[in-house]
Amino acid sequence: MNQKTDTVISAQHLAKRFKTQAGNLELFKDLNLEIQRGETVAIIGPSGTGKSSLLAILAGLDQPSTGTILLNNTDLEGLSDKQRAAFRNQHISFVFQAFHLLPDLTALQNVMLPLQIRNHKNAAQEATHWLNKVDLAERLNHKPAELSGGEQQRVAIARSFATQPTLLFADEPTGNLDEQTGEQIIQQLFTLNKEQNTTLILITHDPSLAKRCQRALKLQNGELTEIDL
Amino acid sequence: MSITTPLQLAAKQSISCLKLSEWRALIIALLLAVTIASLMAVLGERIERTLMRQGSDILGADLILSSSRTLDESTLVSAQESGITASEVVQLGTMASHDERFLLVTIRALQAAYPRGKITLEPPTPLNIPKPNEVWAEQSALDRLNLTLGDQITLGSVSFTLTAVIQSAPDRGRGFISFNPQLIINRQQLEQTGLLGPGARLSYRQLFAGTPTQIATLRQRLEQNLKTGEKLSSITSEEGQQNSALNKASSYLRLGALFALLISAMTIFLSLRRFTQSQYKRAALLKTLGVSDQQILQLYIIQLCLAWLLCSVAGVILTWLLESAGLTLLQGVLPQPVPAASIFTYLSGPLLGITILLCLGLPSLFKLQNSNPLQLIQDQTAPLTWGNKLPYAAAMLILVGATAWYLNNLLLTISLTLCLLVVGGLLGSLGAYLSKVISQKFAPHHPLGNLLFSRVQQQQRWYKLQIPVICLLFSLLSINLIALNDLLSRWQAQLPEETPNHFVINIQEWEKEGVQTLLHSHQIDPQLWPIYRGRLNAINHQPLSEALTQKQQDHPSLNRELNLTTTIQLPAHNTLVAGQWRASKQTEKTDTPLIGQVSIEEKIASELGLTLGDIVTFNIGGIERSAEVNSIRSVQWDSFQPNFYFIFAPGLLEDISASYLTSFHLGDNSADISRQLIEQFPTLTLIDVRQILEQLQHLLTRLSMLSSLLMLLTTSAGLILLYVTLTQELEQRRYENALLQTLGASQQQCKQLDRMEMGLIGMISGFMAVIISELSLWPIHQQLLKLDPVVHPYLWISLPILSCGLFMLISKLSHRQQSLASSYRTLISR
Repeated sequence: MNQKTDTVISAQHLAKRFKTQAGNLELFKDLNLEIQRGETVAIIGPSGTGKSSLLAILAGLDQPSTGTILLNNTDLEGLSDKQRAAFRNQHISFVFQAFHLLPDLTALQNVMLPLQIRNHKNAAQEATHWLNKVDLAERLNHKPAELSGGEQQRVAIARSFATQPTLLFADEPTGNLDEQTGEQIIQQLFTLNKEQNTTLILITHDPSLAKRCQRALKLQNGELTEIDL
Repeated sequence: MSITTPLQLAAKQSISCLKLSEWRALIIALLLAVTIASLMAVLGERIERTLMRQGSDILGADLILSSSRTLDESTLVSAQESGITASEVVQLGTMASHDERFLLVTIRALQAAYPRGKITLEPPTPLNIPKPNEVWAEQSALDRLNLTLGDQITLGSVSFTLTAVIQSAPDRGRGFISFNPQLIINRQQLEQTGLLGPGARLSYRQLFAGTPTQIATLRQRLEQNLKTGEKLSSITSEEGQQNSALNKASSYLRLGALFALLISAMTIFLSLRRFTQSQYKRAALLKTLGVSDQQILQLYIIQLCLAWLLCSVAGVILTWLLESAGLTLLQGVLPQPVPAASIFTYLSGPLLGITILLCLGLPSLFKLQNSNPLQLIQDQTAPLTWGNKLPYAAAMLILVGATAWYLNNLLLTISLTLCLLVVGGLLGSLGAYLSKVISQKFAPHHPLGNLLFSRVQQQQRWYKLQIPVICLLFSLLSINLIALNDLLSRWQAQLPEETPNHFVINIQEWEKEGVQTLLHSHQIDPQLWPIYRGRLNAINHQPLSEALTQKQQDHPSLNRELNLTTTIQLPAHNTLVAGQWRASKQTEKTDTPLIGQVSIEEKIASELGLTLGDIVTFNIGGIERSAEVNSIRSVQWDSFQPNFYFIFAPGLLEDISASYLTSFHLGDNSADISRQLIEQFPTLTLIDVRQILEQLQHLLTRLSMLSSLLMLLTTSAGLILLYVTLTQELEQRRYENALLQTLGASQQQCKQLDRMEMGLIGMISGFMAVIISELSLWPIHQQLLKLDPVVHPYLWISLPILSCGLFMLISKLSHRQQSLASSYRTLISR
């Protein structure tokens, strides 16, 4: 595997501007970033600096105002909505602070969702496998309301790994959990990430969490800088 | 806050809330509820007042003695001698003609002015009754015979000059005959028309007016001497009020309102619940600014009252407009003028509206009053819970009470509400279950099948509301339209080409040959049926009081004279179900002088318990004749052929004088033959069935249009409810689509998923509506319309398509797709 194929995110001169009533608001400009396969990268920064916007662009959910971005050597700009969706389904997963499980579906059905989108033949079997991995084999048919916060996030983690993505974006994954549960969740996330050789991009306020990543980037005043924690 | 501040604040809030879909939906639902309730009440009352006019002025008398036979004149004379005002009216249905036009009319021949009430005429005249050779007619007769004042109208063999148009008149009668245009002539002229011959359907009425004591004494005297077939009625007699089928017209309108009101109430409830939730933070914010709990409650109550006021004014205006449209539709059907409704009736909608609003709104507003400012700090949204169910239960009870007051019938309201709720609940559960089963079966066959199944599982509780509402709405619409359409179109289509469309009755012995010759000259070969008018008075030589049970003695056929006939061959459209038709001459028996043979219609045979071999005795114009039942026939009553309960074998009745009846088919050139018949034989009565059908069709079309107008309002209420239920879950749906997109679904897939879901729910609602319609139409056709039930294939196609389209349209209107980036923002902002 050469160097080129090991780069899963290659962003050049990224800028994001918004039009507001007060004029143009520039969140960031001239951002450059390269992330290698299997790396764990933390993005930290104060509120309102555009971390989530950057994540949306890096994940192919939003377009930069200027600049180019290659995800797994693919330029998403040239792809149709359907192709981009298929790309996301194939390569990208998310873990959110608020878990985002559909309340009327069971744990198993929630994990099956991304598999069903890609029309996976054995979605139920595969989803069961991933719920086993996060120690929820006993909770397959429970709905989110019947699960604790930690369990819900484990279901979300199972769902994110079920498609065996190249890239996993985690946006404050422990933000809604107590310290002890948060620690267990992070442990699980990092373990699975290592096992699957997934590239993990973690957005967090927590420096100790960022410290567990191989690299840490700070977004502040529209600039992204590599920092040492 | 000063007194004006909450009002101003509430007014401002009401306007700014217009951007909230739930507030808009609330206002539209409230407006519909007010309009529907007012409109149904106003139309109901006006129709009721028109058709069920009460009081002596409308009846024309305090007491009426009526019969289908001539009444004893001495009664009239003795009443007059005792100081009672009395007069006699003869009423009959016949054909009136002018130029080449013929019209079935009701004639009233007056001897003197009505003892009570007054005939209003245009141009006004001091006369109480028309002069001989003059006729007064209702406007509808003028319209349909193309008449103007001064024109000649032929009734029987006499030409009358039209001298006035009747604006209103007492004693107009009730029931279906009251829909015929009415004519008034002078009693003196009646005999000369020749319309009083044997077989004529006449109603003789003696009308009396006097002091209560005089009337009570007269009533007592008349009751004692009441002959068979005579009937006494007065404004207090219940019969007059209950007997009429039209009594049900206003109830029907009010019942029609119940479904619409239930839907509107449900919409108001859901929008209010959503609205108060959206106002939770605002209320909390106002509290941080120093507004008390009580003032919050006051503010929102004022806001609701403002909405109510707006909807009441708009609703009453709408009622007035729709009422005019409704009455325009009924113009040719209802006797004019239609009395105005009372102001209070117009206010029944607003009254019911405020009851619904406060009953359903207060429990939610109390929750709003308890909003917690801490929420602002924690940036939480109020949970959309049902909270304490007690206030809702109390509200429901008050609401049922208010509806019962509106419908004027508690038991009916409760039973209908329960019935609708139970049927709705069953349909909802069935529909939701079907959606689950179908989507599960469909899952492996489509790339989005599994997602659809997941979606369907999540939306089950909403389907339980949406499916029954749309399903019941569509069923009602289709039953309403199809039943009325089928009645005429299929009835006519069912009749063979050459089915008789003209009946000539009242042909006398001496006219027989002439009528036959005239018809032969037009290539018509009619069968003339002799008609004997007779009353059954013994079975197996026992009087009816001994031979029959009390219930059998009350059989309608025993209270009047029946049309009897003789024939050699039974009519082809009759089928023998028992015995054998023997047209042999009468047999001599030792115990009775003359016994003939008779064939009986099967229904009357079973109702009177008559079997083969029984001897029936009839009194025919004072002559008694007996015959043995030799056969029982089934008769197709709607065949438009002459039909008889009793058909005698030849030989028994020939020595009794008879009139004759015939029927034949005439094509488009019927006017010429009709004119010749009436000119040459003025005493016979010609009935053009097409005209009766046209009249019926006219009536039914107008009624159908009126009910469609009302159904349109109910449908609007249903659509608003559908819109509200879809927007209720809009946020959830947006969120779900956002999540699916981050999990790799394309926008296209999300849209397709929405379409598939709406299509599925629409299809299920549509098919369930078809099944309900067909199942309901089956007994309606069989029992009510007496038609062979059929399946309506176009219903099976149109309803599901319409229902799918509707769900998709409303979903599209209430739901805009969002971009991928905003989908993501939706997720991280939650």
